[in-house]
Amino acid sequence: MLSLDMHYFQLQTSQKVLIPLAFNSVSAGFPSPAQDFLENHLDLNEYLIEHPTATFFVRVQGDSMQGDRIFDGDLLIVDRALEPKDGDVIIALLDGEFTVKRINKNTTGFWLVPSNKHYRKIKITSEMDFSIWGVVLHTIRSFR
Amino acid sequence: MIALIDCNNFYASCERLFNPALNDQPIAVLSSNDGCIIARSQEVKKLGIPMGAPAYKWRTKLELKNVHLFSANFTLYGDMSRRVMQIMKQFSPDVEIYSIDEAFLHLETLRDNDYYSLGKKIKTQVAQWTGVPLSVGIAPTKTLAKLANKIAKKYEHLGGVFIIEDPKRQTWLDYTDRLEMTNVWGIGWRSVLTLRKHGIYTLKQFMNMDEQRVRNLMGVTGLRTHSELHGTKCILHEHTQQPHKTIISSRTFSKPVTTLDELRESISTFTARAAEKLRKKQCAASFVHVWLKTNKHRKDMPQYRGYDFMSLPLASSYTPELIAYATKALSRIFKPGYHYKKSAVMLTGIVPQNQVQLNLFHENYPLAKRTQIMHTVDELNKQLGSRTITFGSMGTFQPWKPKQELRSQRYTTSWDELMTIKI
Repeated sequence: MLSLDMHYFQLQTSQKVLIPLAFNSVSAGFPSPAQDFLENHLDLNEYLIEHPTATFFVRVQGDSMQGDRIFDGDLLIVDRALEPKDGDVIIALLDGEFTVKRINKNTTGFWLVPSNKHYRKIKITSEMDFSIWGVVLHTIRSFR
Repeated sequence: MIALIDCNNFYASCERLFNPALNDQPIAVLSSNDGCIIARSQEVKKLGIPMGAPAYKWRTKLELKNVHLFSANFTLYGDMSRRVMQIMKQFSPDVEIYSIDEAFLHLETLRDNDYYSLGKKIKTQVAQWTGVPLSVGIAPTKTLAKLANKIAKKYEHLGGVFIIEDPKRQTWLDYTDRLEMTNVWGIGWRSVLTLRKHGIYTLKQFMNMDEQRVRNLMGVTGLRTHSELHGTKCILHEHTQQPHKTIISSRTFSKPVTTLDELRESISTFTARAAEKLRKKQCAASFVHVWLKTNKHRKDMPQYRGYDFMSLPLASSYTPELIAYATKALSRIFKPGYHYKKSAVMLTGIVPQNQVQLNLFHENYPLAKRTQIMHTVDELNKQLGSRTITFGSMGTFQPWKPKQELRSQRYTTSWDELMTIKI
């Protein structure tokens, strides 16, 4: 019987699972000491992405978040499935426009906070059209 | 119980996810060559612009009302659909995908029968995870689930979810008073006309009809619909997809094509595309059909339709071979002096690849090698992007390719076309 707090998990049979081969054939006479310790290869998708169906990649332009080490041209990995927490870096939709800021809650209310002294923090008021598009989990920056 | 999930204004919703300035703006999506409207947002529906409307015919109204037009971005829509369907699998082990934006979920019995909450949960989660709004209809049969979904869509106060728990307690029928009978799955305008001729004007009256009478007027399919509406499951579960009997690949040209070379390019491209679909199903084809058409709307130009087919001695999925046969057929039907508007390739005689038997006459046929070549090509195209490897005869410039001038970015499948945010 199904209840509302249950949900089904699908076995991801389509993903490639890299199974390390036993690369030493025993006929050589001397088995590898590593044999029993072989584990899977490291998979970036698994490491970086928790909810593939809710994860999107976005690029940023600008410098308002340099203090948070988010720089112009960076690639962001954004998860829409997560409930935003105080202090999260989020993609916010403010009066029809996207922005990336930290969300902070204090005694005066909710604030969108940049990390560059040339930018001011923004208080979220009831007159504003505000929503959270997703939570930024990681950035990817390439040096080459 | 069966749930029918249906996304609201799916294509328009996909466009809005990455372009929220459009959230309350009228949006319409155009078919290939930016010809006809194939999707409309709620605002455009209210303007009275019909589905399938040719864009050029309605351009005055479209401009006047500031309707934002987009060329269909099927890559994006396909990816968003895949995400939505994957989320569905969290709610049921048995998800039957019905179309790009609809699916039937076969639900286990809910402990406290709170199907409304389940429907709300599905709706909320999909909206949060993907930004796609949807409606949920839950009922004991597919036909009723579809109808419940239509009711949910029509009456906003229902919150996007409607349940028909006990079809016999026909309280749900009251909700259909303002719904056209054609909203019922299985009742089309022809049936409506037939029913009207015999004094049946409303769904209530249809429900009260005697089974024999339904069968006489609408045949066995009508009876099936009638029984499903009464709560008896009659429509089969589409467990296994029947292998397609034909694969067609075709496009209308963005500008008239007159030369054999350009036609050969298009035929080769369509053959390659069809062959890809063939290999995805692990099948091979025995017949290649080719069509050529001029523009039937240009009554001032000479008209011609050519058709021919070639049969292969051994069913194949090897693209170069299929292209060779398609090109042969093309050369037989090509006539100079015509302005061609469209060409098409169809593959038939489709059999599973493993049933293709090499016999005595085909001893030298390099089946293993060709299979390996195509497998490599398909893998490279999958990993590095389609069209990484193409076949020479497809051409590089392809000026006949359909226009997609207003297509939005492929935000979820192309590294070069990601959404960029100014921060």
